[in-house]
Amino acid sequence: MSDVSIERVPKGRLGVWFLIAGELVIFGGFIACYALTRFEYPEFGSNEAAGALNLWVGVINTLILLVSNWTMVVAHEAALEKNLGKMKSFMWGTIILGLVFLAIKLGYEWPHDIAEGHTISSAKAIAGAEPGSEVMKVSLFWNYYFLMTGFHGLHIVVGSLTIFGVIVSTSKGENLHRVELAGAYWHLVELVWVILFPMFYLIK
Amino acid sequence: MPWWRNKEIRMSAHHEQSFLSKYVFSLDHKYIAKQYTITGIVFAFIGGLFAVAFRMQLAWPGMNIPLVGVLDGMKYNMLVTNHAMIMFFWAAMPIMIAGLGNFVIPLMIGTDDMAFPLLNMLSYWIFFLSAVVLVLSFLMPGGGAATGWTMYPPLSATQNIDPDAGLIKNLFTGGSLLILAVALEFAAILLGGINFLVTTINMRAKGMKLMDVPVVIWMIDLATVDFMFSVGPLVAGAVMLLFDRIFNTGFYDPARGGDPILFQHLFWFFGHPEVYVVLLPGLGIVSEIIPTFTRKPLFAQRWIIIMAVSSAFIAMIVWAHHQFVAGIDPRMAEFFSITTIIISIPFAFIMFALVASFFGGQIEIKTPMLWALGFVVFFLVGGVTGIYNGSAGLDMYLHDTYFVVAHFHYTLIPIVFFGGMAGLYYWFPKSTGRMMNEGLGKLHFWLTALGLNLFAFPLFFSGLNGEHRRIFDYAAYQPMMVDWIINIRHMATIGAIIIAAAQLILFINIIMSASSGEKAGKNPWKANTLEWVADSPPPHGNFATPPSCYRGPYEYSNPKRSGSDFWPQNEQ
Amino acid sequence: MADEKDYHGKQNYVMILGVIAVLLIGMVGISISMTGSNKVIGIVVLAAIQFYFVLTNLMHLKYEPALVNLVAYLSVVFILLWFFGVAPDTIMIPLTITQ
Repeated sequence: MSDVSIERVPKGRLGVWFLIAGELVIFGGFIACYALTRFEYPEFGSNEAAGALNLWVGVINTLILLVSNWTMVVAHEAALEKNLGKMKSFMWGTIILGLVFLAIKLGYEWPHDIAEGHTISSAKAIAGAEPGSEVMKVSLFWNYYFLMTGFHGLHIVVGSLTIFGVIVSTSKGENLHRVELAGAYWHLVELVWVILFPMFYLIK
Repeated sequence: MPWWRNKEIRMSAHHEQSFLSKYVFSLDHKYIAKQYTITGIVFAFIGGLFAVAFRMQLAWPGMNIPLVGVLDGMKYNMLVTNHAMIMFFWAAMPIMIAGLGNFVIPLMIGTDDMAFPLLNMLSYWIFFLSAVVLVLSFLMPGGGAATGWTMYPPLSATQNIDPDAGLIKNLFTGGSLLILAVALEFAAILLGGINFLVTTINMRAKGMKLMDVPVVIWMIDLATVDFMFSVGPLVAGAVMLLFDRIFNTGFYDPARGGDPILFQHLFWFFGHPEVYVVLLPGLGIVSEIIPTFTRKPLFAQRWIIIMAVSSAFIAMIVWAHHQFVAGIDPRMAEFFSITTIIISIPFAFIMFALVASFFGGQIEIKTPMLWALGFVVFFLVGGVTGIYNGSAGLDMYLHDTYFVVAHFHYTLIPIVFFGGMAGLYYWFPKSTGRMMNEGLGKLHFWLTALGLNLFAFPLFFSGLNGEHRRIFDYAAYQPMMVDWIINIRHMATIGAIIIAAAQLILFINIIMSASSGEKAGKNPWKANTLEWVADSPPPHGNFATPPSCYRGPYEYSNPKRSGSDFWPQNEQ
Repeated sequence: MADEKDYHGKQNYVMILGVIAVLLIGMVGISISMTGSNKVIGIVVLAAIQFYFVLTNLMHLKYEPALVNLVAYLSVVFILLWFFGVAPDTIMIPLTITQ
């Protein structure tokens, strides 16, 4: 830990930490709700629920996000060295990897799940089912899955737009401190995925 | 760089600004504070009128209420729900947190504006959007939400929802729009809160150590931290509730495997710290006013801050005392009873310290001081009755009776009204450069105090007798139709009407004083803190030269300072 | 801006990413090969270590002052507090303990 007092932390960075803490409690709320429900219903691990998720696609997506975090840190280092070209290309690399993540999730995973009959409300699957039956509980899994991966995806979109905004505003070499701030938000997206991925794909 | 990042341009009064950028999208914290405060006061009035309307129904069931008509059960529930929602999120929060914090923080720490002026402006407009969505929710088919402000599912997940109607139709219902409005309001206050914390930590005047920061700023920052940490689960829960409505998910539907009690926990994990979020700034305002009008230091200032910090933490672990009768695990009820009783200790300490601050002082009863005194006296009633509710066993009987309603109005009205009014009368001269009329101010106080006590005190007794909350007509409950309880309902309604009517005096006073009140000068109350160094009203950039800070904020009647009973923070 | 370089110095980010990737492989391995509560504990622990690593190294939290660390960790602490406060209601721990 640093000996520097909190008063000497530059205000942009300090502000971003408060934002991250706030976002962590919001996602933490979702995660805690899912965790509570998961402990209550082992059915969430069944083949119609978590078992239907493609583990290896999830692993690939996780690695893509991990690499995008690396490109972002490299961009930050380039900013510190005032290497504008490298900084810009690695920020673009981050955005592209983020969009690939989204493309896999929205273009392959979600349509695949929807085709199997698992939608956010699973209205067709639960029509006529007994209250409290396994079909109902499996549909609750899918409620949580689409909700949380959806919000995570929304944060990837917002993060990508933020990084794009930083690319534009640093194009003349000014405001280089913003690269780290956008990076912090991108790492928040990774933090959340580090919990979401095992929660949905691995605990079954 | 853009002009608003250039400190020289910001601090000069002559840069060109269009009407929109000067008056509508202003980046100046004082202007944003005015926007928040005026919006808050307007909504407080609307929320208050809702209360008068449903109180008239309670006193004279079936009456044709002016501007509203005859109430049925649904309309009554809508008024009750939205009264509370408005008062918490569109009156208390903008006035006590956003408005107060925005005005006071940069001035009191001796800087020219907030850390992030653009973010500050954006937060107000997100807040404004939330207010628009709220008003829209009243106009939807089926009317506004009628679930109680607590929005418990399954009612809140199914009211006015047609599962076959599709996403858009279900989104444009009162209940769904209310959830959206609340979520937007949370986002606005979260963003504003980041500004407060970073500004206080990072932009203090030279020489201002943490203990030299006035107590009101400590309180606003602690409240912001409490808000930030507790709102997350409710944002999650509200989104899940909204999804239950528009996407037909089953998060809170027991038939689908969901759990309504989950929502209660999510709601109250925020709902309880929220009441301390509005309390702490009120305590802070009173802590500024008392030293100024007793001409002596705040008693145990350091310990008041320590107690406030510990209460901010304890506030996060008492939430389920709102759920004692909901069917929670009795062992957790035991735990929450204990923590709820414990949280009374730091607040009791603070109240004692405030009372001790009067001893040996040269007390001057100007209007701000009168409101501060009223706060201390009436909040005590609310606080003490909270302890009764905190015991799980007693709460079995008291829950959802008017005893609870009386308790929380004896806390919330002193906090938000009396505390807020104290702050308004105290800082009005700084903000407008004019003094408010003392006679009207005192009349405003006494009428509001009379109204509060006439309204809330009798309700303790009818509540103890079992009068249940959220009932629109007691005709079906014979034990509640005895004479003395009917009289109590009458008294409470008259009290509520008096409170509402008394605020007209405030409006008259503001309009009169803003245009033709006595000129205030820089420091009409002869106070120590840095905001009184700036001109009244402060220009863009607040201070001609940034002040330095040489001592704490409550050095009144210090023997080392001869010839003056106060020692401003910025004088050597 | 001068604080940027000073506050965290040069770091080997490939190694940090490598550690996270190794933990990921570990988690996937546990998921495929183990069953029961050991599996859940193993995955939760590894995920927590990954979380800690991203927070402290990638986001440079370990180079920030103590109060910033406090703010970040408190967010996790409060969520855990809420979880354990609600768990007896949702996960139905039997009441026979008290009777």
